[in-house]
Amino acid sequence: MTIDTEAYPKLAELWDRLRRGAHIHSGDGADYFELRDRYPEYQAVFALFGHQLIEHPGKFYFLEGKMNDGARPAGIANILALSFVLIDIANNSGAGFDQWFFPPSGSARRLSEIKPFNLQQHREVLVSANIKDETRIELTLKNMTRLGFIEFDGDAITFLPPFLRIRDLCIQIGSMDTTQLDSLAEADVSTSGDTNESDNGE
Amino acid sequence: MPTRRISIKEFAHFATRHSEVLEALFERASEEFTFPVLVRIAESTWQEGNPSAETIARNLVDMRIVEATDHTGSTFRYSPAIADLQRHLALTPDPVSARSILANVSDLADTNANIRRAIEIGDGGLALRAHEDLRRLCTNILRGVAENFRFVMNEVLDLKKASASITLRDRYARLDYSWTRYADPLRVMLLADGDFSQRMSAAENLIKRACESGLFPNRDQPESLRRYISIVLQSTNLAIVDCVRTVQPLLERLREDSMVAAGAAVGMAQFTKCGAIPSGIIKLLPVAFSAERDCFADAELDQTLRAILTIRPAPPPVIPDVHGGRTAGADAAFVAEAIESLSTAGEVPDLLAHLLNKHPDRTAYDCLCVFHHLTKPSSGFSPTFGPLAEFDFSDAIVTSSRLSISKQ
Repeated sequence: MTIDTEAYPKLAELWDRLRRGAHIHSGDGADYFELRDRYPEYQAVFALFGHQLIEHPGKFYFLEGKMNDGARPAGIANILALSFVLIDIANNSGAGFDQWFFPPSGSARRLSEIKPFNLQQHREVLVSANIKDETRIELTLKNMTRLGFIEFDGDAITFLPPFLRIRDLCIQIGSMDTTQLDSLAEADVSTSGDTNESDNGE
Repeated sequence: MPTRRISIKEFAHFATRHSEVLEALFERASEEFTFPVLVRIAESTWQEGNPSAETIARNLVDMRIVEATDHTGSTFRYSPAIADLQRHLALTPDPVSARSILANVSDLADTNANIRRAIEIGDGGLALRAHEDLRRLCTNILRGVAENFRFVMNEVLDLKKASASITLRDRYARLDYSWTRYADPLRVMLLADGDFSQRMSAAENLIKRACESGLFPNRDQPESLRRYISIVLQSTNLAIVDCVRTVQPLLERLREDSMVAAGAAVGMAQFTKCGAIPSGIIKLLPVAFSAERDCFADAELDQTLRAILTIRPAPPPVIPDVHGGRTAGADAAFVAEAIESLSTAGEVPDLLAHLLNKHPDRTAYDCLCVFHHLTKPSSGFSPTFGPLAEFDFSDAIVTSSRLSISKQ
């Protein structure tokens, strides 16, 4: 198979975004529609070189990445910690996942309202993930913005369709029994390394 | 004692099967028990067909229906969350249990048999008694079904209006418990089973035949009963369809939201238990990462080379000093092979194939990056690489039939 680069004028640009972990959704305009309209072609192109382009039912696209020894995705552990806490806040409010994260009105959540993290358990989780102060929280939210999970303007947090991957992950974890969970606890990842990477950013 | 994670569904089924044990524990909600005492409580409510009392007691611990009150796990108490649930249910009048409604449906078969016998032997008295039994059964079934479904629908309304103090998981647990105990057995009976409809239709026909056989002194009675049977059949079907349509989507949404909340809770527990999240969980969310350590951090690398994708960021190769000086680890071997390949002065695809065969862990991108660098005048290599320098990398074509493209 040949790759006619003229037939894929957006290939380099899409590759640049996707390889950095970006999730491309309808809000991304032309990039999204290019992938949507030519998904099988792009899927084949990326597959040639060993990457899988995923089309999520939530209508967004991302590259399924691989973790190599010595390389870690920047800030994923911190993102997971903060996301788990936010989901627990939603659960405690009695609101469903969609209702809290994707309200019909489209309104954003305010960091200033969430930030007190009143529950001791939430504070413990954030401290375990080395999210110890406001700077770290904002850095984590910026990483989530970079990956396309949210839009964040300093206070307003708008959750985007790619955040559904976190929901999928929670459902997957929630359905595991103790044995399966224990098998995941291999070679624990130190979050201090992740924090350094997220400090460096892109 | 080791515990395993029990789903809320499993808990609801356990509660339906062993409600007497839960009621006994509820009455002693303020006490603490040792495990032998739990076994005795299970024994006191044991019924034929149940597992052993010790198994039931073990299930109570595994499902965290009873919680350990100390670190040794030698004493337990009834879970406060479950006691609250029962307290809530106790405040609401308990409808007729689904089991007794199903028993009434089962009795329909006997009543139909009696009407059949009455027709065979011409016994008007038997026909009249069967007629009364049939009316009573229909009334019990209609009232029981209506009460059960009304109870579940009220539960739905209560949960929708409930304050934020009830978490999603508790809402799901309550609705699932009510649905499993009061509505689902009737749904199965009415929609899936088929026996109920068949028996009711058979009863209607048998009453008609008995009437035609002159077994009833007053024709109005059996006619009225036939209409009543038809109304009961239609009403129960409408009630279950309405209940399913209202409750099941909500139950499914609560179930999924509850699963999400449960997963997040597990994730948080892993953080606080281990001080960091296990890498196994991170791997469940594969995210592509920046291949910042490109083969060459070369500003001149043109857009076309970027279009030839790489999978794995290779460590930066080191070009060996042409004066035979420093080398740097394994990368030197790759670059040396690349130089050797170029010296064969073949076509680009052949050169790539030659190099990739020797280094299957490298990609076509890696090879082209090296070639591109070596063919630059600034690289200081032999001008015999000249023809390659004329190669138009901006229009590079990778032919899989001629190349062994290494994959990770």
